[in-house]
Amino acid sequence: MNPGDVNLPRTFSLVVPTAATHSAASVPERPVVGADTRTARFERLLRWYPAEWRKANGAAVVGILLDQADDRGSDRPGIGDSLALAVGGLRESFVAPGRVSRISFGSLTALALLCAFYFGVITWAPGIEFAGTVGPFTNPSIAAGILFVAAFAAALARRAPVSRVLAVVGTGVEVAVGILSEIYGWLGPGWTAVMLFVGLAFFAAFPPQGVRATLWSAFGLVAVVVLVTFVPVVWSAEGLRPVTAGVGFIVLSAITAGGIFVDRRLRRFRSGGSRTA
Amino acid sequence: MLRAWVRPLYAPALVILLSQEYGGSMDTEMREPTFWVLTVLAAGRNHGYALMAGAKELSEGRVDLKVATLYAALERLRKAGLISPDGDETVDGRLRRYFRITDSGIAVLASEVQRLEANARQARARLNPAAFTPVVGLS
Repeated sequence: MNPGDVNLPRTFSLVVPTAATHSAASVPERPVVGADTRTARFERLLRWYPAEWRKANGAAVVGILLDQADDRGSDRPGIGDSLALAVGGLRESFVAPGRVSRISFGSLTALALLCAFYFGVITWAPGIEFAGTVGPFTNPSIAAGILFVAAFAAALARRAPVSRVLAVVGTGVEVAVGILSEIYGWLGPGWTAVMLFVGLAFFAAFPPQGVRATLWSAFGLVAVVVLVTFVPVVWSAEGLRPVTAGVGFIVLSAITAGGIFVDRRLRRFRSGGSRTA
Repeated sequence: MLRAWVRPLYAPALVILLSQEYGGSMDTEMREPTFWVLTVLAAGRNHGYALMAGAKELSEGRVDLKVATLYAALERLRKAGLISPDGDETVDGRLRRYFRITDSGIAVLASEVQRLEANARQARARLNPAAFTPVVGLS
């Protein structure tokens, strides 16, 4: 079927601007502002959108905004457009339907496995009555765990925005439980568990873009987990503080060196790939 | 005790409900921006800015799409298979992304036009009582 086959009313056959009718010749003279500065000004409006969206649509949207500005005889975006782009970008980031990225799904899978281990083995202690215990669990992290598992289930059901919101809310709950546990002396969660949960949930909700960013994020998470796990333990023994500092320095150096090594190998591999392409 | 731990789940539950409501298929009517975007594309492939200008012109100024709204609508229509991207062109140093209406889009638009015409016929008949013949069961 062709567009012309449809028996549409005459009023629909109006001429609308096309590339030909809306050419540079019909556009009002542009304001005297550097083209790059002007374009950058409009590109900044898209910062509310996720990087993936900007990569796919950014240039086309900026083209429209520039066309609009030309027609208005302005070198700045309109307030209405700025607000609409902020709202649209936030919606695209948090609410808009979309597929779950591989990194998000991987993080959620790791999160679900961590939940199974943490709540099935570490905190499962029926019969224990202590401040902060919840049913058969030794601490209230189970509230965040339910949200994380629900986020994983939502990802399996391809409900990316729901999954993202659940991961974010779960992160907040886990951090709150961690702080309350510290204040009231509950049986956990320790900061190692909190950091693992929060780190994985954060990656699931806001997946790093690209292999290098993912690797560095993973190294960062490992470094933080190592720090919060070992430093307080060793620091508690006063005589061992110099040793603590030394061990901490060595561990962090090793992690950083590992990151730099993998990063360089990756870059070399990529540049080799581009030469052969 | 239990209620205190269930409370944190209220917010996500509400989000799930709202998202289902928002993304559900309750709407039987086509939204006006969607209608005008499809209508402009029914005349031939076109790019984003022309779609906005066309929708404003055809709707006599009622539908003044913002670029954010336009791209949300285009994404929705693309996912529904009613339109498809039809290439990028650079004009005057600016990227223009073209879209075209698909066969499904044409069918959906034609169906919407028929629905609107039927509605208009009924309303017009009641606004002109002299020519109005009551329909059994509706009078």
